Amino acid sequence: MIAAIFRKEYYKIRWPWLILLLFNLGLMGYIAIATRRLFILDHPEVVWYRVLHLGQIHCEAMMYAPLLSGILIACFQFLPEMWGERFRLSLHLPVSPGYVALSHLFVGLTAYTILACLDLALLSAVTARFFSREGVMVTLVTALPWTLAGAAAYLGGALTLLEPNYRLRAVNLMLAAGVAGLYLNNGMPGSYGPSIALLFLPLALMMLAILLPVLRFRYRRVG
Amino acid sequence: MKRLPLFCYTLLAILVTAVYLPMIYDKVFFKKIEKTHLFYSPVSQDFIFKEKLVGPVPEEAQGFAVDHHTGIAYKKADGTYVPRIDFEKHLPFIFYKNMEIWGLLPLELNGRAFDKAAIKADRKVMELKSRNIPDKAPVVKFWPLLESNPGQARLVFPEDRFRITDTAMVFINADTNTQDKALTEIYTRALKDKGFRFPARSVNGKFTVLKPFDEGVFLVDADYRVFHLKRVNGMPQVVDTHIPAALKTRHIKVSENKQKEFYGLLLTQDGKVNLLSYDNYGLIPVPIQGYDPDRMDLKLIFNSLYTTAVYSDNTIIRAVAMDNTFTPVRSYVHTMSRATPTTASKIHDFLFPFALKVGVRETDEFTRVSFVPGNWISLGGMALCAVVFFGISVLGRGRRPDAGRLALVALTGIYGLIAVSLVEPDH
Amino acid sequence: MEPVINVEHLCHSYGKRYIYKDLNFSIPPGKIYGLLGKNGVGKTTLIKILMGFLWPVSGRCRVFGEDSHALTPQTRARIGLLFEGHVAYEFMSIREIERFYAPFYPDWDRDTYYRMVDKLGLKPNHLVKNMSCGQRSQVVLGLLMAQQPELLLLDDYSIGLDAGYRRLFLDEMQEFLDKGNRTVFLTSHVIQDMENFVDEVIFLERGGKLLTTSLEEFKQEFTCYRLPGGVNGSGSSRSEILRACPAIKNIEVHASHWDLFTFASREDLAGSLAPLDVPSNRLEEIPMNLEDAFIGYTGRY
Repeated sequence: MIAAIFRKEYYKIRWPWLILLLFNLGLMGYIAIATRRLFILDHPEVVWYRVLHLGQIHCEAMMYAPLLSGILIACFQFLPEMWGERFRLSLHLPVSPGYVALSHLFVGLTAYTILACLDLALLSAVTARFFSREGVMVTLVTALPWTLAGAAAYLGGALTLLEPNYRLRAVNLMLAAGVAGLYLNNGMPGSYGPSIALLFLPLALMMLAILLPVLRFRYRRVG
Repeated sequence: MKRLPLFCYTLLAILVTAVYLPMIYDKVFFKKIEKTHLFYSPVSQDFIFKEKLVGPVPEEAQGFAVDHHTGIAYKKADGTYVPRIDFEKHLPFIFYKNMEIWGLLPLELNGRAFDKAAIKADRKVMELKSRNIPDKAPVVKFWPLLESNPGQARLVFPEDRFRITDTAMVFINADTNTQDKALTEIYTRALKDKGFRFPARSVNGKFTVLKPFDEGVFLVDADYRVFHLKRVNGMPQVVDTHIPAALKTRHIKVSENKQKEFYGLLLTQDGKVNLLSYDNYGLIPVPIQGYDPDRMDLKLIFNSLYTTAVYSDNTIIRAVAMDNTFTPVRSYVHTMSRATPTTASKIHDFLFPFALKVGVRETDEFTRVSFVPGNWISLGGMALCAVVFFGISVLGRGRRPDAGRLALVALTGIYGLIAVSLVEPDH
Repeated sequence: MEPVINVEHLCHSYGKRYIYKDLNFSIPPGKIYGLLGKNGVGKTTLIKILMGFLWPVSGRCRVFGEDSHALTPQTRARIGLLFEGHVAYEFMSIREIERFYAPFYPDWDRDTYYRMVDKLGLKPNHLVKNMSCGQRSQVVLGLLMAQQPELLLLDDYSIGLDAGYRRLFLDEMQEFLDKGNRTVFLTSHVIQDMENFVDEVIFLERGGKLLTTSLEEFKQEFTCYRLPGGVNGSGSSRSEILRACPAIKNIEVHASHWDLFTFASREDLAGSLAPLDVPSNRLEEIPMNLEDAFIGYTGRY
């Protein structure tokens, strides 16, 4: 059954997702060019000093890209479901509402994770071309929270879009912005290192909290 | 079915409000008050400080605090306020340029005369901020080893950086981003020959070219032995410092200074601070009672007569004045004005039973999630929230609230009240 | 035989506005029921409750013996829903949408689906969003039938369909129903379509008052008596008459005449009107089609 839901979601988001993929590839291309340019304009040891010691972030252009990807995937996935309340069709399927909701989230998160992992992999490749492995590591630890912000944006988008009540939709949007903001603090590169594991907790909470608007959508009230 | 999502949503709402509400409140109602500047005056032979005052300026200080910024007081340890110029005259080794302008140089203290050159020659400051200890910051463990004999006035960065692995000191060339096998071999061999045991526990140096000269790096090996490594004419120069391994050196804050008296400050595992001397790497303990490197910033202010160690956490500043032999002559403890409770801080405590902070703290460079508990005033706010919730339930909905929800509101105060209002059943 | 739908003391409100406070009815298996009522009487609310998309404030609404808001997946598999406007996942093609639904239903009848959509003459990769409302209705009906549900809840199947597609829809539905013991509960704006389709109708009135009857019985027993010139001279108003004669269901006041709608016989009506000085000797019976009768029953506004 999850395969069927996967199939439906694939039909729904394949084209917009491909466009997002191209956007992310383009962005990584831009980061590769910008990083190379740093080394053209200055001696490599000076660039290393700036990036590895002074905290310059050579991939700063990526910071909000996962956030955008997360929001867009949530919109691609759930706006068609909310339009004319088509989500009722899925919720009437002979499986539990929780199963339906979590399957949808699983698909969306998979779509998002592919993009995020691709971003991180390409970022690693670009960084490894110019920097030592320490540079790759600090870059990944810097960029990983950005991708978690994207996951929060996706889950927050779902939390907001699936909520049938306008007042609560606004509240959920604020909650989503609040959670995403946790991952976008401007610290030193790599400063999130010790907290990353803990910062998965709000994402797990969000994922399960999404069942609440789904139940409210299903029954219009949660008694 | 609905219990788990309800619980998660409620918890999420509590977490988010506990992060942002106190943060927004602080942004609106709090000014960041910098720490007090505390000094030992060789003139009055007592402490004197400059402080941004929280709340009204005392009457006796009012006449003195107008020249630059109102709300700043200059105060002696005996409790008297002084004007800014008097304050500076109390600290002639710091404000020697003004002393010169005011025609007060050379000055005579303790039977010795000091002119501008003498004052300048003996002045220096060493600092060890809690957040700058490498294990409290996201330091990239990949360092440059500067050429200590550059053959010119200006220092330059080498084309390579090194890392210390479990078995070697590995140099990576920045031009090619590949390992320089020859350098790696030479330096690894040099270290091993001196008895260095890999891996290193810490690598300590001042990694900048903006310094008068380079003293290389101090490496603490796996056995806590400290080695001094310099790159001289491209070749390694390794010295076993014989600093006792039992001290378990945690960090050495290297600070190259033309006086060439001390390499810097050495912090031991148990939080003791020593001056690391050029004289055979001898250690001079800095007598600072109650110093905690993980919470406090330390500053050592040297002048011709005294060295003052000033160290502070968020609320209390302490100082020890020492003579030239680093024997304490006087000490002082002062609760900084920034710690004074204000109406805004009391309302903060009342409103928020606790706060979650996600970000960099004053004492380290990592973005951390920290739980900041409230105080006894917060109990009032928690009780009020519980009463409000009870009232809303009974008056508005005609039924007593569920005990679990009431307990949640009582425990989490305003956050819980908001969260349970959001997930109130029946829409 | 246990009813397929059983509504007991159902009560629902939006805020403080009650839609109904004590609604009761039940539907036996194998019957086709039409729900009729004016706009705003709570038809949509009732169908939402039956479909399980609304949790009633109190009372019970059971479908196949389970509360409609807590149907088990197994029971949901026995129920086919048609949402108003023939709602479907429009981003899928004819083939894709069938492949999506099929794995959920063990008795899925792929042939029925393709027999229905093949009539449209469209390619299997034709997207639902590029179809007309009528074409989409065929796809939706095909999916419903392929599911082979025991109960069909059809919310205004007629909306957006022209006469041809409406007829096609009903003919195919009839054909499908003829094959087995299936129950249908439907609403529609087009009252005439119900005439030869439903077994029973439920008239829902504001406040939750119900009348369950067969269309035959309704048409036979519900009569319109016209009073040319109205009640001039008697001095009684419309509301006074309605209050004094409970047998009169509704009075429609026109410039030249009044129409009195009742289940009572002419004699009984005349008898009850006599004390009010209404000239009942002038009452003339007016023949009605189903729509006239429906409007007469529910009122025009």
